[in-house]
Amino acid sequence: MPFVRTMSGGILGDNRPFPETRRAKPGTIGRPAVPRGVSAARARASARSRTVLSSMTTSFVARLRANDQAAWFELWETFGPVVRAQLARWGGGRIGHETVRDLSQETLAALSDSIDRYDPARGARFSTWLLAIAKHVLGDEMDRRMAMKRGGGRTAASLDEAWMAGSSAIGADDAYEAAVFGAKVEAAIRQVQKECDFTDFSIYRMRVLDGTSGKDVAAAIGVSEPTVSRRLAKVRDALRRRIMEAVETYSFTEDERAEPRRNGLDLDPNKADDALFDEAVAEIYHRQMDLRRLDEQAAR
Amino acid sequence: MAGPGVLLVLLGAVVGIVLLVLLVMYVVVPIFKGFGWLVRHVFAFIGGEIRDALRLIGALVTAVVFAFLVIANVVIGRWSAAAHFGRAIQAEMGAGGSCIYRILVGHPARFLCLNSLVDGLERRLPEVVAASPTADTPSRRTGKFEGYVIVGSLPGGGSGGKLYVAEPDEIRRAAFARQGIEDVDQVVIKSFSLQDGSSLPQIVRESRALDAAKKLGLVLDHELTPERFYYVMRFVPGEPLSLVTQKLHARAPAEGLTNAQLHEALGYLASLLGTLDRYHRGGLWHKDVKPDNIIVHGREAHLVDFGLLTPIRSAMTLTTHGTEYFRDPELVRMALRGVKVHQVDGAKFDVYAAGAVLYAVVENSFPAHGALSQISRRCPEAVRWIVRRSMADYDKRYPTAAAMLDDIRFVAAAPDPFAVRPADLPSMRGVEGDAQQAIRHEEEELVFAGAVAASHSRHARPDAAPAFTPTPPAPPQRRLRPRLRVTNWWSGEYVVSPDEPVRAAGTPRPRPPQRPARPRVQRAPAQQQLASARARVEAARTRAAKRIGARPPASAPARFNNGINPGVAVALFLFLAACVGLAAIIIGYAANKRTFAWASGVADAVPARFPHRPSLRCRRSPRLRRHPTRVLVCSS
Repeated sequence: MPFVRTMSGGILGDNRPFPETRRAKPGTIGRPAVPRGVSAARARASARSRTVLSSMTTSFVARLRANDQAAWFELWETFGPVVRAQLARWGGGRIGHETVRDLSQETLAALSDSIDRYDPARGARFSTWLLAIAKHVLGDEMDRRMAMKRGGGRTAASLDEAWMAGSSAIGADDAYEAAVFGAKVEAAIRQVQKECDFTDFSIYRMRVLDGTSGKDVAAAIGVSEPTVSRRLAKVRDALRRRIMEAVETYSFTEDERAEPRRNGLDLDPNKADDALFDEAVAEIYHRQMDLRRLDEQAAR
Repeated sequence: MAGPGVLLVLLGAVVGIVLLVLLVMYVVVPIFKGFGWLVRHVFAFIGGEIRDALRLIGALVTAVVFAFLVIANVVIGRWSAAAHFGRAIQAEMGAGGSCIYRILVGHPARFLCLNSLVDGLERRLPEVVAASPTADTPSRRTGKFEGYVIVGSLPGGGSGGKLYVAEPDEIRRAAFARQGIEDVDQVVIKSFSLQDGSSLPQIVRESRALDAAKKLGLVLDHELTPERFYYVMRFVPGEPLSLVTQKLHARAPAEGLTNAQLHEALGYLASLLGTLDRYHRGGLWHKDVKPDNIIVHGREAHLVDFGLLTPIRSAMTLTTHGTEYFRDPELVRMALRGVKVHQVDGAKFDVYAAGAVLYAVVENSFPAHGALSQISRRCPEAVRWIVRRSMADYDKRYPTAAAMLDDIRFVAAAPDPFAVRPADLPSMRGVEGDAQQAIRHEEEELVFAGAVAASHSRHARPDAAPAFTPTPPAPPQRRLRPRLRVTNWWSGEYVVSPDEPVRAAGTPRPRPPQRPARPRVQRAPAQQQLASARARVEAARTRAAKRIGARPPASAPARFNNGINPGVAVALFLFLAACVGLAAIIIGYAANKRTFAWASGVADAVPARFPHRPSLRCRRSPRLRRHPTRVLVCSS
């Protein structure tokens, strides 16, 4: 089913409204709340050191706010499999794959709609935010199915702000965080594939992602081994830049921005160990392949 | 002296501790894990049974409530609401049936770890039922199809139309023969009817590329009325490529297809790409290339389902219709940006889909990762390269289906496809393969034919002076220019082809010789024209019949089989066997009952006028055993 969003914000073919979202208080976005008794300058400085939305994140957020369909599709392409895997795990077999796909579209659409409610002062991660929305969407679906109101007689609750306090309350485990980080790296790899020459990227793919030796790659392409090394380095540099951009775009906290270093992807070319970098990229790539393969098998 | 003893004790203690640890790790822990699994398994079974029992009760109660609502709505005349609640009852009954199945079969089978046993019932059965064709004949509301006799139906798919298999009558066959379409034995009619639930957007979408499809011979006939729309295509017997792929991999070893199977798969792809190339040169792109829309018959692969066929020069906005995994994500991005069809080369999206089909055939799964999908099964490096190139970014993939076809043919023709390097492929060497050369020659012929047609005068009179044609200026001395052909794009090596003459800029193209004008033909009377038309039709039929008769009988085309297939025969046999068995049991029981009643006494048969007659026991008199007739001696 095509997932073009209609003007009213619903998904084509699905007239269910999005989860109710409350409008943010004026001045919330980008500006932390100032507790009483603290000077504004000190509050600003401490907030800056804690959580600041990067310029890339801000521009991506602006695109989502402007209902940029390409930004929405980018979200879908990058985080769709992660959200589906999590929803399927929570569903425990009670929801079919088509419903999981619909719910994942709703989750990403709700994410773009609730962007105004994000408060960087709370220190919430992007992955936590995504998970909280997915949980809310799934809960809404289960309520609808059971034909009963949540809370015993009360109206369905809107997205709770309690998740902003910390990710542990939502149940974001290591596997989920690894999947979200892997999705960012995968987005970077896709971007590099678009911008690089086909043969150059194929050399990188054969050498790093498929594990073919440099000699075999050179023989297959019909070039010399030094040429293979040179082109490999070119693609590697482009990949470093794109990973940095992807992590910047989809990260809200310093902790998230430090994830590449924790996962062996040192983005500083001066200090990088190229072999380690390639190995880390290959491992993440194969992990994402397994995730996508499970998603495709569930679809069949 | 105590030293060695202490050492031995210590050593023994260490060894004992090590053994204990190993015992715990490899024996005790697995036992506890197994016990934990068993407990979880039992609780899962009990929990499942209780849950489904409660669901069944809930479904029954809800169905009863809905039944009251149905009756109430019928009484007050709200028929639509009654139908709505009736459908809800159906859903509750379905849910209840599922609960009963799970309680009696599903959960017990899973408890006994017999999951594979129920896999057929829970997965394969619903799939096959969902894919079953619709009614064999169109409904009364849809009406008949004039000139066609319906012989069966096919699964409709997701387009909203109904598919019927039909045989054209003699008049239709003659009409096809007049159009140059021969050997039309059976056809497929795709019908959209507003009465049957099809919608106007579906009809508009399907009819968009009809004219171009007719020119390519894909659509034989069509009709559009206020109530319905249908078009007729040639019936292609065979199996979908998805099924063929499953069968190939079922016969193949675990690591992947054998060389012979790879060759077969490449043959199917070559056939598909040839078809796609023909569409693209005819100005259409298919837009829904996937294994389910490719029918394999013999060694040929035929592309079917023209529901999304789109003219390449269309002014419509791109849409995201298609099938995920076989649809280029770039197409979706462009559609979301509002790009028009004529602003892109739609043929490239078909090339992407063809690459995804090749991936699906080699890997036996869908390319879930798009262009980054990895082939894990046995596959030549050159074929991997072809898959990657066809699914690469829009600007980097094969420019045409013919270019991809050349690479496929090169690998298929190699004695060992695993020995072919990507560098050897025609696309890497910058060499035009047979397919591309054929296109280039065809285009050159078309240009020449166009020039001839442009200079030909249609209505010149026989006695008129030939039209004045200005004498072209004498061409200047022909300047020769060498033709360069690059043999290695990476190093820039090239070879110089023999010189060819070129025109200097500004000089007109030399005109081809003029044909003499056709004399005006006097038209015959209408009756004579009709008689001659009938004679031509008869002659065409005779020629067709001779061709059919001359064909070897073994190559008769496969027909749509709507009769008894092996599955139906088995089902009928089992039903008859069950009926016979049941009848035998009933007859046997009845016979035994009569014999038993006759042998044990006639107490039940004593007439009512002797109510107090004591029960009699009868036996054969031993004195009269040798008597031929039986004599019963009865006593109370």
